[in-house]
Amino acid sequence: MRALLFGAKHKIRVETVLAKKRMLFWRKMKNTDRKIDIKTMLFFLFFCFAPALFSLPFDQKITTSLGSIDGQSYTRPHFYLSFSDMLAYEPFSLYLGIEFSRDQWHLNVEPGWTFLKLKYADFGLRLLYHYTSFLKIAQEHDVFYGMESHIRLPKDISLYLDLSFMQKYTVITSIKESVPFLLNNGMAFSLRFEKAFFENLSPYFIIASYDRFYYPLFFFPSYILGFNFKADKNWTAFSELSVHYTDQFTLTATITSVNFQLGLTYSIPKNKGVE
Amino acid sequence: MKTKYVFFYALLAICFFPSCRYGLHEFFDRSLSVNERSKTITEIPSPFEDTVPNKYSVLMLSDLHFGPGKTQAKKKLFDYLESLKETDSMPSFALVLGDIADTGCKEDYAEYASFVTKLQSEFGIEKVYGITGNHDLYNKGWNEFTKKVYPYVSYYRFETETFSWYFLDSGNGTLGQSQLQNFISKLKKDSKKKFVFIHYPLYRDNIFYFSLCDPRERAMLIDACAKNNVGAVFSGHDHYGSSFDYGPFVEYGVYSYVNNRNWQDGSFGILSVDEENARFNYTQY
Repeated sequence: MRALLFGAKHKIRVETVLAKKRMLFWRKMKNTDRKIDIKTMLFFLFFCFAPALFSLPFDQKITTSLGSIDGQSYTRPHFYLSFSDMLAYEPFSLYLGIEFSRDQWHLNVEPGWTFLKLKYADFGLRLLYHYTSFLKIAQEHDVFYGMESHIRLPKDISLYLDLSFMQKYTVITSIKESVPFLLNNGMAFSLRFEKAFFENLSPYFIIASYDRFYYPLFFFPSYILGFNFKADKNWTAFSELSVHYTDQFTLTATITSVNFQLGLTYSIPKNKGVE
Repeated sequence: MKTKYVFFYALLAICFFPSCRYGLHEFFDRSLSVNERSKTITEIPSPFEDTVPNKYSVLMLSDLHFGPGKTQAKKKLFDYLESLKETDSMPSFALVLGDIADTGCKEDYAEYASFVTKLQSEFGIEKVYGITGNHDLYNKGWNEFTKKVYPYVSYYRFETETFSWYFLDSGNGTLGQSQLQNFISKLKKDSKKKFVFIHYPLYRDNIFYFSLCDPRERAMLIDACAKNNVGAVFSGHDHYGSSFDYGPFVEYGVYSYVNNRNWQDGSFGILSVDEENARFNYTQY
């Protein structure tokens, strides 16, 4: 019995020491963090939301969401806050998005052109640029060149598919003098099913090689389950649970992070600003 | 309608059959992930019991894929070792950078054990160190790994006179939070020149798919290696041994022992170490 108790105490002590070490590690890392100064934050907020302030000849959807991520990989649990503005001027669209968290910030710019609209399907071209700064260690620039489609299936089921050629440029500060950037050519895809169950509620499921502000190399899959709830003609609330895995092609997959977010979208019809 | 179903199931079987022996049922959840296996580093004794020689060589192997109907590769390596028998150039010890077993089963590890016995008894290479690769973990292969592959862990280090040798567990395609943090902390405290051994390549000049896929984890690793006197990183996994110079250090790919084309090649590398001048040289055979 005493041996058992000693074992339990010893285990607790070891785990406490490990937890303290982990905390110290992140505190040290935090000292080298890129502090997101208020000017940068305001600049990008303005960049995203300025169109919404004016009466412009296109539809807009402004979204804000709050999320929490828990990770098994380098990621420590943290909260993040994101803002986005989706501008649509048919057949063109432009997505602007930013996300802030403790260690990093992201910027997304995503223009699209729907060149073919049919009764059951739309097809378009898309570009995507994503920037993130991670601690003081590295900056990433992701560029996607690809196609997207929206297929309307019977029984109110929608299928969204995009497939892109992906280029990732990683600038690592400590080797920048010898290697200005590391380039990875790869691919990216996302497959989304959405079904309108009731007038206001539509759940969706996504399997993708990337997430809105998460761009691993091919193929670390993300599985996302979400719900859209349309409160009225302007307001839509949503919640989303995403699970990110490692390398599922070579079958040693393990969960790297779990992400939960809640958000709110406000739609602004064309020729109207925020009222 | 019936034909449709038969066709569908046949297609499913064709897709999944080749993967069955790799434990497809663990597709979404492999037990004992890296965060449970490899939290803190294990210090192990140096391969040299008494004095460390000024110059010596190390046999480097990767991606052996032992298993029924797989690795037939023996001749090239054993002929080479045979030619060294009466010389001083016999490797002092051997390192295996993962994918030791093809399916993670007992039989695969038994083949590896007899391979190690041959290295020990016929060529005097007493210590053969291993780390996990993705294949080693299939079918709960970690249990066998901890019984058959010295030093029975996958995250460890030892020291020689001038160098520190770090072995990482990347079998799940990631180092995991605990190992990554612990590794970076250890590097910072260690002033010696270092070698790092890992199954998954860090980058190695734009390998498509077969490298560490999380770019932030990769950036943290490269940054830590660049800042903390790492001389070289050795990796396997993609079977084609390309190398890449990051400036402060070089990453060498250790060519697969089996060679994708015929499973009979028997490729290996020799790492020559000069302890006196803190130099090294890597040659692929």
